[in-house]
Amino acid sequence: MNLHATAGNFGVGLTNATYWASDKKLTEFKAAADTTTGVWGGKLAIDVTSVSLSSNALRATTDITVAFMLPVTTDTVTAASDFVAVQLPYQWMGVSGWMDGSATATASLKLVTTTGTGAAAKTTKTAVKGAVSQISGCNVVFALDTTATKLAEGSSYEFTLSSVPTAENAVFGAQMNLGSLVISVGKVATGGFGYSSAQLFNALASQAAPKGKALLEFSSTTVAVSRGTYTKNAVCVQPATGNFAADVSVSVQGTAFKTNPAVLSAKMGSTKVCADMGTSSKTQMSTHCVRWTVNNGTAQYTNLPTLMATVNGALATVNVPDKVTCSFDGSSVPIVVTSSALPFADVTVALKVSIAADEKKTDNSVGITPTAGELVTLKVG
Amino acid sequence: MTGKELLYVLAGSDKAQFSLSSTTMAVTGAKAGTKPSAPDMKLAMVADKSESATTVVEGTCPGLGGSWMSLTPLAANAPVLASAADVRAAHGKFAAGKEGAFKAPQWCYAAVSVKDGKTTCTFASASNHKYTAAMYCETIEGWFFASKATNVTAKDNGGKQVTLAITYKKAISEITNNDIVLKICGKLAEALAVPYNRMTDSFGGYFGSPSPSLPTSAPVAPAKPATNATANATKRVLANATANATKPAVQTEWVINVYAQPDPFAKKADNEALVKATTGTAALAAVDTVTKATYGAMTAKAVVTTEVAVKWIKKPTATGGAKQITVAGSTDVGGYVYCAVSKTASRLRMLNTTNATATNTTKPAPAATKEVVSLQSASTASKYTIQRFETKTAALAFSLVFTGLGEGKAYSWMCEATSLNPIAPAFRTAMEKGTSSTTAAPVVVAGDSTLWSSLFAAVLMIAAVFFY
Repeated sequence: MNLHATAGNFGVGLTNATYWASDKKLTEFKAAADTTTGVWGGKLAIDVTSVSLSSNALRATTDITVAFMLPVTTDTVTAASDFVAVQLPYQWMGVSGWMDGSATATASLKLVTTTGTGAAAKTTKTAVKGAVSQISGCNVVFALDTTATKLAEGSSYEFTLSSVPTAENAVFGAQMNLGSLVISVGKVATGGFGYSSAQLFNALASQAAPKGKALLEFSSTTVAVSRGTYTKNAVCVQPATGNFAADVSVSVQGTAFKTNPAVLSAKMGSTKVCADMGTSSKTQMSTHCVRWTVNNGTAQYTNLPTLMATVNGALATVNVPDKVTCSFDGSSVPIVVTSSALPFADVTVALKVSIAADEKKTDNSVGITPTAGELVTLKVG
Repeated sequence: MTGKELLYVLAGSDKAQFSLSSTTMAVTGAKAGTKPSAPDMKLAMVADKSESATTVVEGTCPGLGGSWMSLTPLAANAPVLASAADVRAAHGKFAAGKEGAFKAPQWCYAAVSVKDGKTTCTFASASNHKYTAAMYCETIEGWFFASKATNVTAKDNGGKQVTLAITYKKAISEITNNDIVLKICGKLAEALAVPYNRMTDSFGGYFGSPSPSLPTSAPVAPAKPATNATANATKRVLANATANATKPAVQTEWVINVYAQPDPFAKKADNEALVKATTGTAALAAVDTVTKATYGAMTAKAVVTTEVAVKWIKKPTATGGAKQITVAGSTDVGGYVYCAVSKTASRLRMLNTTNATATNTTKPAPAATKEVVSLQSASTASKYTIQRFETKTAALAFSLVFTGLGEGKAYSWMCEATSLNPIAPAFRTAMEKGTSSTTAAPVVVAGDSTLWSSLFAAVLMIAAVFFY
């Protein structure tokens, strides 16, 4: 296997293609010496013997256990590796908690040794000390402790990634068997050197809603919110199919985002429930992962997926009349104030007299008296 | 007034995220005119903006100021209010956004800041439900105007009731096994993902809410003629080929009717889809989870039923009896007749209501919107004993007996007939009401001593006559 440092010979043959299908004979053959200098060849992929998941339910958690053996290489490139990394398949669509740092991953590595053969075979699993050192949406790197024995070629290991949030998207979850998980090893100082190959191990199982539960969805998994305001009917929750088969209520987690009403409650038989969604004027303008809690209806429905909320800085407009007619000696004239969006906290509109910026400070409001202290407050509730 | 403008000031926590559409307001003064005597407020439903679940009503105030609009179920017989204070009070009591708002009085307010500006209000409603709308205006001149009451009917989404007949080979009763029937309704509702109250039994009860008019016992089958084995013993029996022709057939099938109501809030109801859903695999499996183990296999058939308007032929009248009141009448077509008699007797004796003396100087309270009384509701059932009777083409008369009442006491009663829909009938008669008294307790004869003394006096009289 593996690498060849010295040149060898190549055999070159010619045949008649017309007859090749029925008579596979070479009409000419010649051995040629390879005069190329250098090292050439290939190395075996990490030999993954099994991949198992403790749960294949969507929007749940699962333990991913990967059993693998590091093949022996000519140049012992994977020997003394000090990290193991796992990359989730595309269909997983990443773990949103890993993406925004709101969740971390837990992993463990064991050295698997087998002594004896047949009925006398005895397998021992010894923990290899280490911890998760890097995570991103789809990747987890487990670095060995400096005191731990480094990975050895020809040895077998069992890597377990615990409590991994499963896929949230029903379409891609159903296609999980088409995806491929990648396990790799390498050295923290110099990089990855060994990778698994999907052809060599079993496919992952499709992920679906747990038995007896139906999927709860957003009408749109992305939403745009102008900070400092509520976006009207930004969020709508509905069953994946049909009407709600039970009373369901959901609410947003955390304090960065709020809905109006705070709890979205749907009655059995209704098609969907919607709410305004807003965020403070100090929220960073970027895309945020917004997570939800299903308060009522958990026996019938799954959790909601993570909602991706893009916060922008677009200004909303407070609409006020630019002219009014007053009745002499009459009551106050009504001023209708509306806005294109609800404020997240509040905005107020008041009237004051108009004093010109000229030297005389001309009063442009003589005889017009706005009611002192009267203002319009726009806010939720 | 020589000034010409005012400035707007924007403030608040989120002011950085908002901008004003105008920073100045041009102000013009105008003399107050004369108060219009009877302005046309053009109050009407806006059909093209309305749907079954939301009814849009629009009107115009005869001046700038405040405008209010109310929408009340027709059955509440809501009066038009007479003053701005009454309107403000009624509007102040209204809380928007409550569940079931479509069946209660609703209010909306809007400022009128533009001459001839329209006030548009969107109210919750349900398919084909009937309402009364009213509009009120208070202008900046201090003038108050009230529109006439305007009838509004919410858009009809074409929904019709679906009757699901479930047939069993074992005895099952809609009345004595009502708990089972309501479980069937519940499972069907869950299978169809519709609210529980859209799947009812024959009496309008649904899962978790038995009907107030559910009879306490199943109707007794007509008594069989008494067998008389010896009466005709001396007579010769002739050959009778049809001897057993009239013998009642042995019942082998029992039918439970379950009613699926259409979605009253859908833009357009699909009745055929409801028929298919109620007899679909999921629905039948749901029914089987309730009854298969005890009552065996069933068959189900669903049909769309069209309701027919019902009227009284003979309006209900009540007759008092010994500890009972009988309410009787008749309808023109088959329908459900609901009658109720109060559970408690009237405390006060009815006096002549004519009040000739006009010395009452107390200001009358503003006319209040009456509570909608429904003889299908649990709230009415808490105060009244309710009975239901189904009149049929060949038997349109009804006579409902309310027993167990006090002697010599007056009880209020009421009756209405509806089309054949146990929970949301399309047609109702007006509610007929009255008071009827049970007969007084019979006079109790005096005690033994009085009887003996009378007898003794009679003997003395006879003796006196004899010796005289």
